[in-house]
Amino acid sequence: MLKTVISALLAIVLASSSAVSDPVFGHGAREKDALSLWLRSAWRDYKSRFVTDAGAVIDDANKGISHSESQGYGMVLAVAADDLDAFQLIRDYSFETLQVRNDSLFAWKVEHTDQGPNITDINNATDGDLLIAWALLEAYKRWDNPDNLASARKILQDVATLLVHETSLGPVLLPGAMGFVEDEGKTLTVNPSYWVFPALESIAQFDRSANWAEIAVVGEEILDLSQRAPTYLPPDWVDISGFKLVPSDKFPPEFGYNAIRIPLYLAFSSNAFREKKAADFSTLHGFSNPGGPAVTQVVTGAIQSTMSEIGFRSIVALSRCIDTSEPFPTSLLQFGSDSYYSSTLQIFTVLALAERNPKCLSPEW
Amino acid sequence: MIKNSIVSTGSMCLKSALLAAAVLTVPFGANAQQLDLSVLETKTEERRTIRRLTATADQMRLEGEFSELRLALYAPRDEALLYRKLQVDYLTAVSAAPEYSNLSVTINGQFVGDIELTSGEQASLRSFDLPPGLIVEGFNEVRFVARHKHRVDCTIPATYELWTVLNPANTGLVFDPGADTAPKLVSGLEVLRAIPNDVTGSTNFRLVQPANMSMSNLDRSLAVAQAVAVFGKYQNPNIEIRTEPGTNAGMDIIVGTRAELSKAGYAVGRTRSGIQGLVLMRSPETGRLSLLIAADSRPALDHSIAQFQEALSKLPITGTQRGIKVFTTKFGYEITPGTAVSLAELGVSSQRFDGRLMQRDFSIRLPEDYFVGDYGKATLSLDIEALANLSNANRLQVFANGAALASAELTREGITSRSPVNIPLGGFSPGFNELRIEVSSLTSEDEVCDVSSLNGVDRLAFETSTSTIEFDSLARMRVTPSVSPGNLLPQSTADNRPTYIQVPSNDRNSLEAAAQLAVAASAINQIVQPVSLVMGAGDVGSQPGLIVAPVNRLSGLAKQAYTDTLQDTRRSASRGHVANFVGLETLDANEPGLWADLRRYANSAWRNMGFKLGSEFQTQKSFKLEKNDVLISQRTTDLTPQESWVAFFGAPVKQDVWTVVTGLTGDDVKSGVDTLLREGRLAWLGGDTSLYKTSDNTVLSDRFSEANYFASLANPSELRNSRLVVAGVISHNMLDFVVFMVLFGVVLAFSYYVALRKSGR
Repeated sequence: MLKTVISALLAIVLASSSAVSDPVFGHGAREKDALSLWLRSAWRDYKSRFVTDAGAVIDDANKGISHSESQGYGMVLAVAADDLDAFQLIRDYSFETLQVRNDSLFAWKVEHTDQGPNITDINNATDGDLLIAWALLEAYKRWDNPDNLASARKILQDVATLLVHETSLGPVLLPGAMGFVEDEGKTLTVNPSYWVFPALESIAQFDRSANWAEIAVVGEEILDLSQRAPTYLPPDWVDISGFKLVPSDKFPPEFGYNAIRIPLYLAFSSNAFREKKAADFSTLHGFSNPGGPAVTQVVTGAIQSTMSEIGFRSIVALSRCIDTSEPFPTSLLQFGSDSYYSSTLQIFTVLALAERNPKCLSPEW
Repeated sequence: MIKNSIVSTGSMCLKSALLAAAVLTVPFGANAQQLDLSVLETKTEERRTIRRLTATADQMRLEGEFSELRLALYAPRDEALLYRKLQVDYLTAVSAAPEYSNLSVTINGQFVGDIELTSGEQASLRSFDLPPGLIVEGFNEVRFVARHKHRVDCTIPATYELWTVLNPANTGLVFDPGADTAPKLVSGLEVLRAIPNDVTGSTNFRLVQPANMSMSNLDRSLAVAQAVAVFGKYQNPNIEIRTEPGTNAGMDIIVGTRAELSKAGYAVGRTRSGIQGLVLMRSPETGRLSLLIAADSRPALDHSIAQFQEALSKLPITGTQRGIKVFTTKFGYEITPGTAVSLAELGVSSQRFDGRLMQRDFSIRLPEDYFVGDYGKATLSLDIEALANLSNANRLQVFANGAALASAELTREGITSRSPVNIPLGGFSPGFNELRIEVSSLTSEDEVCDVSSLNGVDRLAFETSTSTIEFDSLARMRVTPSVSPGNLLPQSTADNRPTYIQVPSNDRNSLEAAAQLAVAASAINQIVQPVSLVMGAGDVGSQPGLIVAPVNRLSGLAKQAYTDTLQDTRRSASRGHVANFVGLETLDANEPGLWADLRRYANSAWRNMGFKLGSEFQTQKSFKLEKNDVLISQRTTDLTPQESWVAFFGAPVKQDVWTVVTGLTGDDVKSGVDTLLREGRLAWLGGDTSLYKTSDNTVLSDRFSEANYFASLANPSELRNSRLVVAGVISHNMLDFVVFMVLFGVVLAFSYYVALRKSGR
């Protein structure tokens, strides 16, 4: 018995010490001179264009609103760029302005008016909550402030309670607390791109309020099941009913601006199998298009538009590099012209390259 | 339908290299295991081709005075009528007396020929004409029976010197494949049961991985190889991972997107298969098969592979009744607890035996979650009548997976079903088990040893239709860690996710050995287990899964599994003096004295009660790795006491499992795994650590860590199961069981005493 107790205590001590000593997000980029310079420069530009003095991260292509997702992305990038001031600014704004629900989750949408920020939808967005929690954990690892860890755990506790829904496939993440469950829980609508795999992997090391590793695996399974003939592109939204999974009838059945993030998140995963799945995207319809990946009707294969901004093309190049070691084009490192969303994904892609696939970058990087 | 950037050729198909590769001839006279076949080069005068039997030299070794071998041979539709000649290439031990030794061959129950076994240093080649219609499409039974007599020696040990080994390189059906040697498209997948063996008797699978092809395609090729191995029961895979297809007997597996394959020079046009993008070709001369699966994208490829696997699982087993039986029981007869099965049903034929040591082999299959620690018994009832005046010293011995498990004295009348032999269940492994019965039949005439006068006098009559084996209730509980074949590839804790196979980068030997084990385990377990290969730039073993690497490239728990074997004190099974006292230690059969007799008696008594006397016998043996040896070890994360109870009562508990396969170098790992599979020793692995010694072809097994117990099908709360499971858990170490029973008795007696006192009596 004593042996068990000592072993358990030792395991806890070791687990906590190893968790703190885990590489912090962005570590790989910061330790290489050229990449570090690029990251600082890109982050400076990003802040100047999308982060307000108050700490709101602006989605300029979406009527200048802010949302929990943009706040979460901003916080994660601030940690990656080792910018404590910016991190605290965005964090504090997020908590003061968006954490207005009865729980620890964040209202997903805030409009900026002359009278100040105005929450226009109190519902949450799960990817935003996960991104914020992940940023807080990474900040805790970087700057060792226990308040960040405590805040992350509170958020995750509510994600586990309100947003993790048991299905025949296993536990899935609801996209929001309201509006995605029908037929007394028999039919769900989920967004495969809300499974932020690197976030879930990091969270699993710190929090036990849900089985985050299993949730990530179920996310992979949903992704597998949603990739069907003829295009095998995952739709942005899917409906789950029992073991049946189909493109959601509440949204256009498209692979688009949501799902384009999936290969990025897979590539950022520390799990080798997920990395292979990221590589598999390079063989999909539209991923060899030099103009950028296409918004595609997944059932017919009809192309609706092209996602031509650098951030989207960077994800394609990342996927191709993992697959065939095709070098990442230096033209995709140009920063400063794209909108908030593309710029965010572009920095994330470069971070993924630096962390997981530095071979893709030219030797001087 | 999506347009693809690949230009479809519209022509029949496949890369020129593949076509060219497929028409080369099988190299006759190549050296086979342990045989000098150089003499054979001059014996193949005409140009012809051969379809070898599906077994290695070790599996085609006929040992002892009487030995029987049954093999299933699949004849494809277009070749069945061409098979008109059976060629047998054999070598017999020099100690065999030629005038009393012979080899008879039957196909589908029909006598084909007899060979007088003239022993010598050179192999001999004989061929037999086959009557038309004897070989049918599908599986056919080829049966060899060897009878040997020793030239000069009439002792039991001398019978082990008698053997005839068939050379897999030159034993098989010889025929003229016709003038047209161009590879042909094949429409039916049944032909995948007829992959021709290489000269060693192994099945060569070449996973073609052109340069710059994604690693994820290798996972897919491996999944296809597993599916084919399950379908054709190829338990001796020889896996090669190369950039180009092979040339000799075997099979190429080429998997990729159309873009990738096009870039590598392949193009897929017309296919005759019902599965989109699947092309199967066959060279008439070598019989080499080339399977190509192409799709527009990787997810589409996964879909095609899933369709392929499903199509294979739906194909019926065809052929003669005897052929089908040999194939279906290749990995053992499926045992149903509580039902006696006759040895005839297990493929053992009745015989009248005129030698000194009768050896009969058969195999069975127990459930994969059968509880190895069970203290129950299997009952072997043999109907063996003594026909001669046997001496008093004759015995029956039963072996399972190479280890002696039970023995009994043979009376002068023989053995009847009224005196069955109990075999401890703890000596069996989950899944596939090889059994051997040895019955000695010495008479007083053997002391004189006049070889010529002894021939023809029957000593034993073995009736297999009335001889049975019966297993009582089997406790269904999985034990981890365990390196039995069913557990070798640890399943991912996440359902439907692949098992990681970790190998060091730039170590092709370890990579191919890992692939080989994955495919062999699939064949024996008859299940395709998805795997994902991970190449580690540094040391490997940080993640659970199968880790295959030389000792200097191991890390984490994988390294710990190896270092455990360097310290004998780590063995949990060691019981020291107490074990010695209760008769658990190995005893020298010739050790004199009353004390040795008492211990021998205790030893025998424990065995007769059904207890397995396991690793304690091997405490003095060393796990030291030597050249070409391979160490197979499994470790798991510890369960908390709470999790242990949850698992014990049948609820799912997820546990990470590391299986480590290691050797001194990458070369050793590969050659060790090659030999382990070729010699059919996979089923012999046991405990949580097994060392396969290539030098003497033995397996040393032991347990270095505490076992965890997972109830599976059986509900432990049911009385019948709880008895087995609880007793099994306790009796996993027999000494613990004895102590437990004594304490239990003391507590029970004390409670009774207290109850009586309280009631005033």
